[in-house]
Amino acid sequence: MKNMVEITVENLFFKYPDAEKYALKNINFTIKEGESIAILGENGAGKTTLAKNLNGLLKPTKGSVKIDGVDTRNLSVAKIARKIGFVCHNPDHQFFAETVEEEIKFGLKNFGFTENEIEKSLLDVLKTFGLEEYRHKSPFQLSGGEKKRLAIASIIVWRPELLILDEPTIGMDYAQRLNIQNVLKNLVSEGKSIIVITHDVDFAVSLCRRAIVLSGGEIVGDGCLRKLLSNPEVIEKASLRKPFLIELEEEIGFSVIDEDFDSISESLIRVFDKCHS
Amino acid sequence: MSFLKAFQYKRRNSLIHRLDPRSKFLLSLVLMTFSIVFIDIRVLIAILTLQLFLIGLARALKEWVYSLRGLIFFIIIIFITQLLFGGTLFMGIVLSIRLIVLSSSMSWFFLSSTPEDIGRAMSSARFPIELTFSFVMAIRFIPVIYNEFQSIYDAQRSRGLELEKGGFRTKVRNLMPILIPLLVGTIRRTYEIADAMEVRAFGASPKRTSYKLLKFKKGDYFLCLVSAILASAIIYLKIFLGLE
Amino acid sequence: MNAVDFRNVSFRYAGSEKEALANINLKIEEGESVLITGPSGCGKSTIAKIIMGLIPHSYTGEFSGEAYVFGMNILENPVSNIATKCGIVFQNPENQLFTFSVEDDVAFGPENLALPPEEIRKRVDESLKLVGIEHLRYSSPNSLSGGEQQKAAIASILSMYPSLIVFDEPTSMLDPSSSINLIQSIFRLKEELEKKGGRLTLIIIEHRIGLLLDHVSRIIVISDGRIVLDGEPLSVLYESFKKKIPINIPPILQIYFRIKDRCGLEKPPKNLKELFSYLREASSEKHG
Repeated sequence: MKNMVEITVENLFFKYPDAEKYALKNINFTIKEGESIAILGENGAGKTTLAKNLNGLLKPTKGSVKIDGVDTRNLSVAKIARKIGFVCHNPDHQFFAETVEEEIKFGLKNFGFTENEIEKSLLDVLKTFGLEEYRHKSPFQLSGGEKKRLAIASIIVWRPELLILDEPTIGMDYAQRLNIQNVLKNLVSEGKSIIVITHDVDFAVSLCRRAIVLSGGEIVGDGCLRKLLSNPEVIEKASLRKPFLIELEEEIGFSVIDEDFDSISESLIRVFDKCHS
Repeated sequence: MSFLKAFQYKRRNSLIHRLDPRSKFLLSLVLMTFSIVFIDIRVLIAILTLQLFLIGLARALKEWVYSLRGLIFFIIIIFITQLLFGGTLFMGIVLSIRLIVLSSSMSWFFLSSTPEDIGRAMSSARFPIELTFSFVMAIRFIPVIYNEFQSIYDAQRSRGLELEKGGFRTKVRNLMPILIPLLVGTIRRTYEIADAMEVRAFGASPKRTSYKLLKFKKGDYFLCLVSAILASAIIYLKIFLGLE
Repeated sequence: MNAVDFRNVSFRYAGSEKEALANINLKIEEGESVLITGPSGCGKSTIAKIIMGLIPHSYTGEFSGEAYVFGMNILENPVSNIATKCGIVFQNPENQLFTFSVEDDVAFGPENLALPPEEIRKRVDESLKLVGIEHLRYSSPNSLSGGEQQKAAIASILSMYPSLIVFDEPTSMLDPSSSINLIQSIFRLKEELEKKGGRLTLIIIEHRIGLLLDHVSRIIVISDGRIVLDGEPLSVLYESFKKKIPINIPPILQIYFRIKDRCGLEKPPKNLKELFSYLREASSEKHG
């Protein structure tokens, strides 16, 4: 496919100005089309710093980040943003417009879309994210969950090839979290690449196939998310927790990852009946 | 921004840090007066040497050097104006040293006094408590709000905002997506801080106690003595010796 | 004495059409540990603000009913009076520390009460020790992690010698390991105080129920400004499961609630291992 983005990170070291220590050390990996990746690790492990290096907000101190073969040092943030969307963790950091509609149009205008395209994309995204009724409302009047949805919508609207989300579930309640999970699941099933920065392992396991695990600025694991999260050594190093579903699978011996609690419960009852009949 | 570094307090424990901010303020005022009153290079170099000694004692030489970088711009202006308006190279050097002495007397004070000590000094000088707290909190929240600004700026750049683009009017309009979230965030923060202060009984008693009272110690009396001697030196040098 | 006593309390924020709280009747006894949960925007934080007297004193709106904390009518007592009995720890740790050292922040409350300096020193020492942050005494809040900041905020409330502390989503900005750590230190500190003969009532507002299930003796579920469930934790969770109230029931209980009747389980399992051993027991009984 032509319009897929590929990111290559080589020997990336990053240090904030004035800092004594490196925030990222010797990072190497490649991201290809259609991947769903979770960046896991504790607060302060360097997750957000890594993400900002991927979309050019930060430039490597040493080493390089290349997007489709071009070093990020030679690209403007705006140019990268067209391909790589970044949803920051706090929606309040991006809302400024008078209406939801204007908020969504902001990116499209910056990237020079035509009136027709803008109108069409706006309607599409309002529908997919269930925001139609709020179109003419102020973004500041929305609830926490709606704000989060709008934040994602206002990025996804220009159809970047890769979407990076910083802590999409932080501060969300049960229903809001479920809602975001579904929104992102749909994106993944449409073949969109996503990177989710999170310390919510249960959320990550339901969404991503690959994980990059950071601890103290270094990669301590990169590969299949489910394998990494059943590896006690990685879990220990990054102070993570084994996700409930993986724990359950290990106990019963078959996959339940895409099932809900109703069907999991049914399977359990079946397993225990079989043992004895 | 780099010269602001000189006014950023770094928690250190040195002889100078332990002194009362009031005595330090007195001395830095006297030192500042030198740079305002005199233009004689011998006096200026003597004072600069003394300042370097004091900054060294406060173990803040590194930050001081950093602060000089911020002065480079002003020093260049000094030289340009000297050359344009028929001054000499020597005069340029003298004026630059004068500027360094002036800025060093303030930066020495700020590098070695905690903002809360300065706050305490303000309340012991009977500044109203609201004013003192506004001062302390303004300094406390500058880095916090700066970080918030940075996050907002990053968020909007990620949506394709380019500040450097366009003419003056476009530039001003482009600032809105940054200023509005910052303003809204700061207002919200102000309310949260006010709540947090109120639930800790701020304003409960008109006679608020101060748990750490500032106390003049031997070192402070010594510093005052030094300040007095230097102040007399100013008068002596200026009036009796007629130094420029 | 009741630590909290709300009688038909309603509140509507100025400029809002809907009541944030409607007809709340709530009694919390001294010494209880209560979890208040419910969807975002359901009115949980409004309850916290009323307990502290911030509503109606600092927020404009329509308040009706009567609210007492430790017998004090909140309408008749300024916030600073209530603050000598009740403290609150908010969501954002950053905005609760206003000075340049943890020590000064912990001293801030007692200074406002105009206590003598020796007394303040004693309280600062004790409070830092209770939350285990003596080593951060001289640190600047800007240099602390979120979890450490939140502990400093707790210490700065403890120095007021409160009988009740409200925690309004104290872990929502922390990562999982610091959240667990913070909750543990909250309950350790309650234990410590009670060993010394003190009494502490805890009200914790949180939507991650799993974090607190082992610690609290009562759960209150709020939805749309009303109390919809109130009682012993397990039965409250079971009721909300049956009524499909969207709260964050821990996954192990999600399964337990679905199969307990059909598999004849009597006790809720603490973890998966326990669930499986219960299931094995139950099925061997059934099949002889």
